[in-house]
Amino acid sequence: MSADTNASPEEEAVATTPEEKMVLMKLVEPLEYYKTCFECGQRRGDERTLESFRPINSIDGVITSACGSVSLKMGNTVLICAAKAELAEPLVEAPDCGAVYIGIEAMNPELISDNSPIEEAKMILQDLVVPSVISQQRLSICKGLLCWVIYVDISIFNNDGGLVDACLTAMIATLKQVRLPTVEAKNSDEVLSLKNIRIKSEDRQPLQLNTLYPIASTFLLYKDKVVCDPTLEELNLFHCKMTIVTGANDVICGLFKLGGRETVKAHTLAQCTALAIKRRTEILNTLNIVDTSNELDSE
Amino acid sequence: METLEGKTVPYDQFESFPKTCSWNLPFPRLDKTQHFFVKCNIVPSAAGSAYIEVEKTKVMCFVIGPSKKLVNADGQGCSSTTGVLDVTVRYAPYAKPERIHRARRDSVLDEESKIKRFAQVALFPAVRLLRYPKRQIQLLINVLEDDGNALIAALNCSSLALASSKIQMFDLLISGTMSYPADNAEAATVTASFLPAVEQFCSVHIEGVLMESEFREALEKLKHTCKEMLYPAMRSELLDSLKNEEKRLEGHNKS
Repeated sequence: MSADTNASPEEEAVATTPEEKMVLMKLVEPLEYYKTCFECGQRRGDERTLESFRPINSIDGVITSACGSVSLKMGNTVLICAAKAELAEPLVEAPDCGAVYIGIEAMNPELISDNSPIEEAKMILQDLVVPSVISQQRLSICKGLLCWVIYVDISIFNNDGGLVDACLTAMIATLKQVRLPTVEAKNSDEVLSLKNIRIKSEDRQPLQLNTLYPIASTFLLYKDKVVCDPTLEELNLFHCKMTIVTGANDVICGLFKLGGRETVKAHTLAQCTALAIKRRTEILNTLNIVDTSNELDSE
Repeated sequence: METLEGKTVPYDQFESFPKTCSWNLPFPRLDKTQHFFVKCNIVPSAAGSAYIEVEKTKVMCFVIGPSKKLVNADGQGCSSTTGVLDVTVRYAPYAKPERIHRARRDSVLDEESKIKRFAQVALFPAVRLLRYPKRQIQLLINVLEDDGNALIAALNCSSLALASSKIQMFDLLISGTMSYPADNAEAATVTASFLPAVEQFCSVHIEGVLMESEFREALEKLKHTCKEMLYPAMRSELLDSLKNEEKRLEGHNKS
């Protein structure tokens, strides 16, 4: 009689379903859990395959005080991007160039303590935006006298991996919305300068962006496997990621692999590039941006 | 390397009709329909978060804690029997019509220090800090857009963020501001925060000149307006977020 009562709790404790085993494994041994998932070729956390990206949702015009603004959500990565334009006298060494400055800051207090993803995104995007997204010559109003300076500010609410991808996409969507007013001299006899300006806000022209439209895609490399669009938990466990930025006509605008123990083989790089090109087409369709390569193909 | 950053001039001043931005517009008002939107627990990774829209003003708040209190230089932090509510106010660079340039990362605007002062004075009586000895509750207020009413939006958003993080409070703190007498060029501005359930004012602020009877009448009007318009909306949103959280937990337990 007593033996029966002792045995039944043990039997209940042993009887666990496979789903509960996976949940326990994820909590107790996350590294082993993710290794098992990658070997099987699927991810149980958000039910994605290794080669699928998270969808992007964007809302335009969220900040009315800015020239252009976008609220972008990619999985659990949420951010707001806003652009403001100001006037300046160009530098002596570059009289026909404006400037674009990027500021990324965290609003979530948990992100402020761990600032390395934001510093990394800022480093990548500052060198990427000026030559690829917009030319500095397009921001000149009058050579040597006046130019536009555009400040792109990104506020990160939540970071769940893919910060560079989300920031670059939001930046392109924001700069697409920017409309600059017409600048002319108040007194036409004198030279155009900061003291002799009249702004016609009713006559606004959209910003002339390059037709390259670079889109970033981040991959996690694990042995021979390629994991697309990793989350922050996966990135923290496997410190080997690579970001590929592709532009129009399948041009690679940037390839960033900052550390990591895995070496990239030729077929892995080709696979990542193909996935990044496919990702770029999907994102541009989501943002309703017409890609010139499609136009060239149709011609 | 020389850059153009910081040497730029906003072009709004060259426009024919530059728009102005008041600091404290009346809110809520009975005679005018005003936009008001509030949302709790928008960021799941934070302990508590809230988002609020008052007209075109947008504010988002985050709550951390209760966590271990940072010890002061003189070591008095450990001996304290009450918790500390640490308020940080941050304006986004694009929040104002002119972009905010910070020479240093930790430079503070006048509006930020003002909102911080109001938040500390108003929230201190509402939060039960005695329940968290030797603990620190951090409140982060981010102003995304300021079109007037930033103070009122920040105070209401802070109250909701603290409530959504399950910090023990006596009641939701409701804040409002009004001009008295209405539609008068020399009207005084009254800003008040109070707890509707216990009928207590937590902070009252006046700018201008008022007689005592006028002051009492203004406070009564403001209390009635806030209780009728703001309190039901914020309370129902808080209850909705709690119900959604319960549903999520039930779904997780079933699996």
